[in-house]
Amino acid sequence: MKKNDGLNISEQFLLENAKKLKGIPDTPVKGRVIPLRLGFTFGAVAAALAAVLVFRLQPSENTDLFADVTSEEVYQYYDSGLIDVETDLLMEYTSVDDFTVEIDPNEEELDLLLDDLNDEELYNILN
Amino acid sequence: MHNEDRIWLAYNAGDYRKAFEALVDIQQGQLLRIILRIVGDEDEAMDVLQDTFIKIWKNLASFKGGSKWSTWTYRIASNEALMHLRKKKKFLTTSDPIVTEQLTAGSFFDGDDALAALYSALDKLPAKQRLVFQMKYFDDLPYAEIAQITNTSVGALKASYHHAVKKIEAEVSNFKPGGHSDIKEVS
Repeated sequence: MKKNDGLNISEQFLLENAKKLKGIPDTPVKGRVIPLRLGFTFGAVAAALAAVLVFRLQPSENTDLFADVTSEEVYQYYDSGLIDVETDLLMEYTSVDDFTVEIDPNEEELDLLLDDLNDEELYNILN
Repeated sequence: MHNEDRIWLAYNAGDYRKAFEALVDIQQGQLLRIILRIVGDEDEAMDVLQDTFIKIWKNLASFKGGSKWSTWTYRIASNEALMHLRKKKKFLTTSDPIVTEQLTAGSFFDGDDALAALYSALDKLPAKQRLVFQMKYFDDLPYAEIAQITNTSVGALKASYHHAVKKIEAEVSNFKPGGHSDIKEVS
């Protein structure tokens, strides 16, 4: 049974806000997720990231695998055309349904996403 | 007509707009709760809610029915909220109000001191553990559904909930006047 979470959100407020939300299909999308600006999808970035990891996950003295990886570098690996890695499982966004999330490699979003996976999880995914 | 059926009816007819509007009508309130409880600040929560529905609209046509509509939308909302919190924390200073302070000072909060104490205890959990606890404790979602939402195994979720309950019990035991000292693990 649901418990009271102490949040009282009035029906009137929701009705008013619903009007705004229902206008989303008529509004050009502009948000924290930047669509089409660089013309590649999250899946592509994930693939690029996986390629970087393949290079970086070799035995090394360096315990911080991402210390030197920049978002630009990830994109360069992808852009080089050397990568063909299935990495849908890499990110939680893509597992329930196969929708794509486009991100800007110049923003911090990729770094933030990386924080979700520890080195062992990444290694297990890639091996 | 069941809520999910209303969405499917429009969706299967190819009327994505109508399906989206049904999603807004049916899911908005619960998604706002999920987001608010993670983000705390009401204005920020409204922004995250809007971003959530933008993402839902953008990806609506690719939804294949691998889960319930509610599971899919909860997942997007919780990811958006967690992402927002991570970004926000990068810029927080020690003098900035934390989630509970913002939540309990907001116009939507009408809980008592016991509930405020519970939220305060939740503040000390990692964000994802807090999310799991809230979905189980407040929303009474089954583990299997939370597992889909958070992309975590049921076993890991049970362990996470167990740890959360222990931590919260220790925190709220300092708060005597009734209310939420009844936190129990749910199997």
